[in-house]
Amino acid sequence: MSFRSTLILVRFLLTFINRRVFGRGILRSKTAKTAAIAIALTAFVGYGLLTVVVVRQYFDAEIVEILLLSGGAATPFWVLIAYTIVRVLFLKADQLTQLTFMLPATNRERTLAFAIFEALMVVGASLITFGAFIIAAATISGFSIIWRAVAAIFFPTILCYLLFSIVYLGVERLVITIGAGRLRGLIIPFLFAAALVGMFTLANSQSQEMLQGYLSGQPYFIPQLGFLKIADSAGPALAVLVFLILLLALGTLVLVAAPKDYEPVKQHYRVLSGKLASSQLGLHLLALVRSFETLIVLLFATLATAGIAILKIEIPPYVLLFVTFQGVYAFANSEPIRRATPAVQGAVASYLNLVTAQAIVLLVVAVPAVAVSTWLGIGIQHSALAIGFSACNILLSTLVGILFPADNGNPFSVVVGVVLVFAIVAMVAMGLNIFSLPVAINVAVVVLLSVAVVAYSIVGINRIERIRRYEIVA
Amino acid sequence: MILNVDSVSFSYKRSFPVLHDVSFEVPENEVVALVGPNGSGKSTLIKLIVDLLHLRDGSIRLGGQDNGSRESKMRSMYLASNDYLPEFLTGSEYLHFVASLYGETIDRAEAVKKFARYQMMGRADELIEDYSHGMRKKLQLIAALLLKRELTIIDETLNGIDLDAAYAFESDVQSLARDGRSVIVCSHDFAMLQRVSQRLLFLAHGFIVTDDSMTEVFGEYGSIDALVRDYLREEADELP
Repeated sequence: MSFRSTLILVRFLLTFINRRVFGRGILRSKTAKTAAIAIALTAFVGYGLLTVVVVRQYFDAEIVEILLLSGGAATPFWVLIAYTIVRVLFLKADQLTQLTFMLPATNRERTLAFAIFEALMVVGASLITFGAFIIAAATISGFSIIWRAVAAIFFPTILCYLLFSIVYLGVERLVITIGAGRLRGLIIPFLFAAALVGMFTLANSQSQEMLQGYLSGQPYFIPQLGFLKIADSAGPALAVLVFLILLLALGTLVLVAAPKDYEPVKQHYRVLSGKLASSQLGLHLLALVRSFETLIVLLFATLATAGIAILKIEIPPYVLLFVTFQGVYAFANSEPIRRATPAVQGAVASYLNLVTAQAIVLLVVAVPAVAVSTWLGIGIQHSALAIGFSACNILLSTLVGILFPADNGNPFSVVVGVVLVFAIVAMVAMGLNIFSLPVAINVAVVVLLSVAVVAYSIVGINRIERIRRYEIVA
Repeated sequence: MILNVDSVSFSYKRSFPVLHDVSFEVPENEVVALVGPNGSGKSTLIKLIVDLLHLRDGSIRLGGQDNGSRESKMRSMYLASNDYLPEFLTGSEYLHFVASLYGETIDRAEAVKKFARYQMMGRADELIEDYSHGMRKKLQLIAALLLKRELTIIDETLNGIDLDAAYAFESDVQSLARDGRSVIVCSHDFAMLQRVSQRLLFLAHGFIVTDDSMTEVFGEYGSIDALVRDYLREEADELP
C-alpha cells in the first residue's frame, strides 16, 4: 500500500475535474467561464449577506448555539444525502474509474484516493453550505464559534462520510461475493434510500432530544456532538486527538472493506421492446429508459407514489419531479444515435426527440401519481401545476445536459450546470416574489423563459454539431 | 465511378493543413487499400468523404451526387475506428436500427449466419454494453456485410478482432465488392490489404503519394511494405 500512489491518483482526479468539468461544454469559453464564476460568486455573496442580515436581525447568541447544535445533530442525515448523490454520480462515472486502471495502483490505493477525493468534495460543499452561517454567527458569538463549528459539524461530517464509505464498500463486497456485483447500480441506491428514511427518523428524534435537553438543562447524548462535548469539558486538544484516532481507525476500515478487484457497473437493462429502435423517437426512448439511473428514479417514483397512497399524505404529485432530472443525461446518452451514419437529423428534430421521450416517461408516471393525488382529495388544478412545473424542469434539465454534457462517463459536468441553473432560477424566483406579480403574469414569465430555454437548447445542439464538423471554431 | 474526390484540401487550424489538393476516384467492384503513417490525414479524408467534417475546398461526389446529400449517405456506410456504439441496444437491435436508417430490413436468418460466422453465436440478444471490444468491431462488420452499401469505408475497424474473424472478413470483403459495390479499407495490416485489395492509395503528410493498382505495386516494389519502407527511407534521407 503506497500513499504516494494514492496522492498521485487524487491529483489525477482533481486534474480530471479541472479539465473535464470546468473546461468542457459552455465553460470551454473563457468569457462563459468568467461569467459562470461571477454568477456563482454573486449568488454566494448574496446568500452570505442575506444570512448575516437575518442572523444579526433575528438571532442572539443562544439561538446561534441551538442552531449549531441542531446542525451538528443533523450531520449524519445530510451527509448521507450528499454521499448518496456522490455515489450515484460515481456509479455513472465507471469510465473514469476504469481510466485509473492503467496506472500502477492497487484497488485499495484507488479506493483510498476516491475516498479522499470525495471527502474533499463534501468538505467543500459543507464550507459553502455552512460558511455563510458561521461567518454570520461569528459576528454575534465571537470567533470561538468557528472552532465550535469545526467540532460540531466538520469533524462529524468527515467521520460520517468514512462510515458510509465502509457500509458502501461492505455492501459492494457482499453483492460481488453473491455474484450480483454488476447490479449494484440498482441495489446500492435503494439501500441508501431506505437508510435515508431511517436516518430521517433518527435525526428527528435526536434533534428533539437535544432541544429538550438543552432547554431543560438535562443531560443528553448525541454521538455526533461528542467532539463538542469533549472540547467543552476537556479542551480542544483532546477533541482533535480523538478525531484523529477515529479518522485513522475508520480510514483503515475503508481500506479493509474495499473489494480487491473492480467489477464494472451494469449501465443498461433490457426493458421495453427493441422494436422501438426502428424509429428515432423510439430509439431516444430506449436510450432513456434502459439506463440504470432512469430505472432508479422510476422505481423511486413508483415507491413514493405507493407510500403516499398507503400513508394518505395529501400533497400534489410532486413525485413527478423525480423523473425530470434525467434530462441532464439525455443529450450525452443519445450521442451514439447522432453519431450513427447516415444520421441526417437536424438540431430541431434531435431536440424534439430528446424532450418527447422524457415527456412520454413523465406522462406514464403522472397517470398513477395524479390518480393517487385526486383520490386523496387534491384538486386537479394543483396536479396540473405539478405536471407543468415538471415539464418546465425537463426543458431546463435538458438545456443543462446540452450546455454541460456528461460525456464519456463524466457525469460531474452536470453538477456545475445544475448549480448555475439553480442560481439563475433562484434569482428569477426571488425577483418574481419581490414584485408580487399576479399569477397570470408569473405564468407568462415562466412560459417566456421556457421558450428561451427551448431556443437556446436548439441553438446549443446546432452549434455543437457544427463544431464537431469543423464548420465553426469552438 | 462510385466515388470522386476532386482537389480536396482541409485544415483543422489554418496554420496546419492536413490534406493538400487530394484527388482520386473509386470505380465499382473494387477494394481500395488506404495506407499512410499516423497523422497523414487518412481518418480526416474518410470523415470528409462521409460528410462528418465540413468540406471547404474541393468536391466529393458519391454516385454522382454531392457527398452531403441524403442519396449519398444512403449509398455509403462508414465503420469508425473506435467501438462507440449505442450500448443500450442489443446486437440484434443495433442491426435493425442501422438497417432502418437505410430504409432496409435485416434478413434474420442471414444475421444469425453472420453472428455464427464471426464467432458470436447466441450473443445477438445481449446488450452491446456486455460485448468485448473485438465483438463490437465484429458487430460493425456484420452490419456492413448485411447492408451491402455501394461504398463501404472501413477505418481500422479490424484492429482487435481475432484471427478467425479476420480470415472470414478477408473472404467476405471480396464478396462485398461485387455487383457494383466498392470498399475502402484503411489499415496498417499490409499483408491483409495485399490479399483483399485491387488498388493502393498511399497518403503521407496530406498528399497522395501513390495511387496505383496492386499489380503495379507488386511489379515495382514487390509488396506494400517495401513501397512504404522505400518512401520512409527517402524521407529520412531528406532530413537534415
